[in-house]
Amino acid sequence: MFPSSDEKYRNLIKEAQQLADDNVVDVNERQVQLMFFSVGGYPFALHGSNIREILHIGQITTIPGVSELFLGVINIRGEIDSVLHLSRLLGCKPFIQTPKSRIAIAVLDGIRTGIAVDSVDNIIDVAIRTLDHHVASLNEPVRSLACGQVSFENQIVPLLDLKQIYSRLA
Amino acid sequence: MTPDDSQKTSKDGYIRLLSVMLSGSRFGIDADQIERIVPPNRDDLHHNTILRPPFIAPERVPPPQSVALIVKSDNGMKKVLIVDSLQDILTVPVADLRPFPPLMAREREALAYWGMVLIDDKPVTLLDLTRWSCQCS
Repeated sequence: MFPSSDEKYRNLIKEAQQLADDNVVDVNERQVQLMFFSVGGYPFALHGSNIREILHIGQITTIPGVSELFLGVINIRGEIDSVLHLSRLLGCKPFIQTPKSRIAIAVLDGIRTGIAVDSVDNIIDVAIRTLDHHVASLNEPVRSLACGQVSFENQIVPLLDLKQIYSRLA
Repeated sequence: MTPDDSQKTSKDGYIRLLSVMLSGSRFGIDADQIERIVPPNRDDLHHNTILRPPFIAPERVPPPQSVALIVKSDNGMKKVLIVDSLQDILTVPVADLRPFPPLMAREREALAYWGMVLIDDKPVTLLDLTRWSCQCS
């Protein structure tokens, strides 16, 4: 039995309202800014509040005797910052510079470093409730450097903790 | 360096740096830490302690343009660093010196790197030769 014309329109309106309700953005929902990027062919995220700027890769000066966890140092408008070889720290294949490569300048407790990444894919606000703080499913060494996971473009992406990264280097 | 530059001292807020090449990298060394600069093939050098940077293979032969820096010492024990080449002697405002990147603290301690300076916009590592010669003894 088919619905009457009135009933059909009522159902359509109800469905439309349901769709609209599903897509409503709660402006009061707490959000956090994340930078999504790729290293060694894998996606990762860092808190945007830790990122001061993102630069095209210029000349990196190597320093003899320095740990392989660093690519070297760079001159940023007269200041000299280390460049972290994050892919090596994460156990991925070594960093190879391409036109999409960037250096993200990270800051935590006043300590700055550049982080070499294959690409910066997006910087977006995500709802805090969507962060998953479980890291048990991640493999080492990523697990010990992550503070959670987050969904991005149909993938579950490890959210790295800059504090853990710094403590690994100290 | 101009003749006027050579008169500037640390009291005026300047430091004189030897710019040297070592293992393909440029380093800055405080000229006040150096007693003499001599050719590396002098016989009397072999009676002194030759400083060997840990990042240089022991079997590496210094290039022909290398020079020997004799480090100033209070106790008469002379120590010598053979560098690949002496590039320049620069007078640099102390205000232009930069700290060594804090995340590289391990290297700063182990290798006696005490800071950095930009020369021609390129970062150059400052090497504390006095401390290093003490660490190597």
